[in-house]
Amino acid sequence: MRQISKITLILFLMLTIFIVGCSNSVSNGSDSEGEIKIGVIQPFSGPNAQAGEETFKGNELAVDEINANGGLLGKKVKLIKADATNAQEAISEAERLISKEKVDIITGTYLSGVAFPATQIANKHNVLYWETNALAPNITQQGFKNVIRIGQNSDTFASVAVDSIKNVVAPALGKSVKDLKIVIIHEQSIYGTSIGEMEEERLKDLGAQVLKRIPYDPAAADLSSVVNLSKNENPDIWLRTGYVNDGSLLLKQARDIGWKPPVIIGVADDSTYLLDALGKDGMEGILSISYPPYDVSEDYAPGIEAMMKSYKEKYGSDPKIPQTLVSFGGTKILFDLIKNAESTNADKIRESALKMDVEIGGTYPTGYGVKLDPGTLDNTRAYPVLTQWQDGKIRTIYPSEAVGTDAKIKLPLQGW
Amino acid sequence: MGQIIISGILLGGIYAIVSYGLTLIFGVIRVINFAHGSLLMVGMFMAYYLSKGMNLNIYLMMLIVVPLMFILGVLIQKYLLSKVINEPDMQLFVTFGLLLLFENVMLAVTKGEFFSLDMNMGTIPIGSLVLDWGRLINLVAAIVLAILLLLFLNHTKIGWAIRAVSQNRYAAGIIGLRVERLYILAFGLGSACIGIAAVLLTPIYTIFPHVGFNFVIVSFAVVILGGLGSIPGALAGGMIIGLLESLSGYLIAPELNQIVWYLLFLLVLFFRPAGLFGIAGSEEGGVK
Amino acid sequence: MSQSNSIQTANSKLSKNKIYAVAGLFILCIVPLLLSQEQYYLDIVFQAFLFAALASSWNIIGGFGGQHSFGHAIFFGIGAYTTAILFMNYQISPWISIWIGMLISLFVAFIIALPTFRLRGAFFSIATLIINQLVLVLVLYYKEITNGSQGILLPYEPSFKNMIFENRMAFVYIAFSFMLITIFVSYIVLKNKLGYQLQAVRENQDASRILGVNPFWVKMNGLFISVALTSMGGSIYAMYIRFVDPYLILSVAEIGAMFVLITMIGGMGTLSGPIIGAILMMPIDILLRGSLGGVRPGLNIVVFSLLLIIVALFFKEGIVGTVKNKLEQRKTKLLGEYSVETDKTRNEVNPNAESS
Repeated sequence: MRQISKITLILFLMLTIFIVGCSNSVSNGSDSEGEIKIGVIQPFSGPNAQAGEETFKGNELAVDEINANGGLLGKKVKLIKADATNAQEAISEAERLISKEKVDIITGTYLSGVAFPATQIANKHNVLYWETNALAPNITQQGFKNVIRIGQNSDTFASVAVDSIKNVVAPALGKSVKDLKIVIIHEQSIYGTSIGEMEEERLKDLGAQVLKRIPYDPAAADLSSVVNLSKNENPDIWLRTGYVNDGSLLLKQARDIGWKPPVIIGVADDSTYLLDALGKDGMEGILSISYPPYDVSEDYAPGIEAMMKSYKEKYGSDPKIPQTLVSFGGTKILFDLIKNAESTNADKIRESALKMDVEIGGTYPTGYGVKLDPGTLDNTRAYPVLTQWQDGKIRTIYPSEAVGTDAKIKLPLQGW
Repeated sequence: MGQIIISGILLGGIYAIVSYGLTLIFGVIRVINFAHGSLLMVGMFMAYYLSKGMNLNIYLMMLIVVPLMFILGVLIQKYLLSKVINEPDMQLFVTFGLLLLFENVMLAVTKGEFFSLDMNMGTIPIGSLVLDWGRLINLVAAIVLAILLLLFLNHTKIGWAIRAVSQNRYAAGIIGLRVERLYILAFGLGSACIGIAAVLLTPIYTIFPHVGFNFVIVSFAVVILGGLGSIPGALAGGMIIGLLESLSGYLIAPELNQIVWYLLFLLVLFFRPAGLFGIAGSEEGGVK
Repeated sequence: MSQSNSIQTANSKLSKNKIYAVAGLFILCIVPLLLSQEQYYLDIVFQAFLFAALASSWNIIGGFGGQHSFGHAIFFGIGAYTTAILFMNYQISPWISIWIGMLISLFVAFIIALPTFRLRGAFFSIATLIINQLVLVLVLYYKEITNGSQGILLPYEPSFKNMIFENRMAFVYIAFSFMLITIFVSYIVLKNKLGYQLQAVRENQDASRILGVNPFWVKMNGLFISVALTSMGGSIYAMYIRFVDPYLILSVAEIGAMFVLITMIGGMGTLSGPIIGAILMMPIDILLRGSLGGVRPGLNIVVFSLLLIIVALFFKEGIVGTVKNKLEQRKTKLLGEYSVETDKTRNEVNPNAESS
């Protein structure tokens, strides 16, 4: 008995050494010139693994597409995954991608906390860091010449939220902006805080009454205090920024005390997981400031239908979170830039990116335009849209050029 | 305000039911079981998949989940923890390993996706106040389970034996109790209690591989606050922490909702380490 | 007389064996990585050294003194935050703020220890764990000082004064020196009165009091040394990562518990245990993440945790303790005697074996 267990131990240890050793030799061996390597840093483990995985699928679909069409600069494109859930792991994995896997470009990142150290490493090696997802404003304020954010940021989220309230929500309620009573709630990390603070500031500038801004812990087992504090203010609009599991808990707890404000707006609340949690009736009428959703018109976002189709073929379901589309669109822009620059060099891509001037809508599957801010290298034409849950489906409401169907906003919300 | 107190009591019910399993395991075997939360998560996934797969009411799943969790607990104690029974350090180490293992096996299986039961059980209005069925059922179950466990521990032979071991394992061994087997039983029972909690929480929470993590610290606090191994203590401890969390979230700030019970917990620990319902001095026996 | 002599020579031989073992392990695991000069491997070596040092620091109060603190991330965080805040706001060099962080840590340690040292065993562990959570909540809440959940991002301005280097090798040297310092301090503690007193308190606090030891102050002195070193590690870590993220720095699971686990698997209360634990655990964790992290979510941690559990079951008293016992058994077999001394050394290796 002891003998056997000793053998299992030895076998297991050998297996581990084998795996570790193998991975080293394989990656060193395949250092060929025939492909363009793109490293993808995402949280593939930990609590955000699902988001990391779904975001990666966007990269993957874009790469499949370009490889099917003969590749890029005559080479095949290859993705290399790197799993980082915190700053420490981000350093290790970014170093691995650059110094061992010899990637040409790094892209990411669902977590801003991972983006900070990873961009620093990429900067040290002057490798292009192609940011498609992270929202924290200071990622692009580090003065790095190699970090380009092609996706949206907290600033654009907040401004779309405020614009939608002014242009769509207030008229639908038949009130002027100055009469609107608003409670802002947001999860307490940099993602929620940066958006929540900007929303508060801009809504106040418009003259709306922001009654309260409530940060909360997204991992809390109970959010009844947030719900009750919001309810006490009796707001017209309940404006939320958070994740999936705290979002479903908040909505459920509001339902459990029978409270439904006239308008609920969430950031990225068009995830199908919320539909699973609250059902078709529960989500009916809830608005979402989101990455472009999957029902924007083909005219506004050319290629979105093809992407939906290939997603379903490859993964067997409809896309689950909107971030997949964002990384898909972002990767396609990257490929165009590589073609223009005829290189994967960070400086050359930056030069050609700064020259790029694409209007919003009509070019990329996200509907994003491209015009970089020369200082921060943020894309100034990446805007989210306003959507509404109607009959268990996501409908784009605003801006009007993005609206695919003839969906109209339906407000105020009916009770639960 | 009334609504806040109701929320607090209902939350207390959740914290209490999550802690019974830990009070049995921690109280008897005296191991800091980091895997507690991940066992809860495993139970929730079991309940969810079974309920979806068989298309039956979630609460019926208790009949299957509880025995399965009992077996899982027995296996853990018998084949892992009892191998290091004299090494408290390594027991703790193994439970931490199990925490990582369970979470990440489920992560590898589900790829971290979120699962929710779409179950709107409705609410019960009482005047201007509202209760929800999911948490109310949980609260009633927490009270009933406390009574059942109390009856079991106080009025059955096995219950006496378990209590004897929890009070002094060496003396219990001397009077002829088979300590190792009782440990296995205690872990199994504790795990079964976690199974009950898992079924009751499945309609309330969104399930994903890390859902149990946040219940670990609060469960330890409940168990120590109430008194190690004391079932009524766990119920009371859960209520106190639930109420404090709800009230301080409302009155101070939701960001600080845990700070008051952290402080109360520390105060109790410093002035009455045996906990509110524990026998004074009991904290010194065996806990090292 | 001759018996005790023979045991002594056995012991000295054993400690020589141990030195060889550590040196061998060191050469096996670290040197090839160092030689490669590849940034990725240098990062692994840095983390291994740093966590070896941090686990050694924890070991002074946790291993020698038997006080299993789960709240050492607090002092790690104090070091990191002090360095980062002083660097950002007052341009104070980390080489200076390291010492300020240590002073603050000593003060905080005193405040925390006043009540918690009344507690024993698991109760002490859980109290420190809750205090760690309390500190995290406060750090997130007091944004004016700590920048809240956004954390503090340090600019990349390489210079010796800033403790930011272009070449990662410099950090490897710093971590290595830090590790040598902690080993040296641990050795001094162990060989001096404080070490014996700490072990006496660990074995039996009440009995030690009878012998004239004041358990409170003995533990407090041990804690002071331990947290000062931990805070130093936090400062180095902050300058290495250049992003002080409260959710990482003050995380029980990723920082505080790591010190404990590394020490446990290596060998609680031994000099070489924490070093061996870290030099094994850290590289395996990082390399597994690199090789399996992209295959399937969480697969790397599944393998890692299985490895931890299996090692724990085979090295029940930690790697150092178990190996030492095995050698001891062989020795006594050779000598043909079974002496009481053997049991004594066994207890020294693992304090908690039967003492509960």
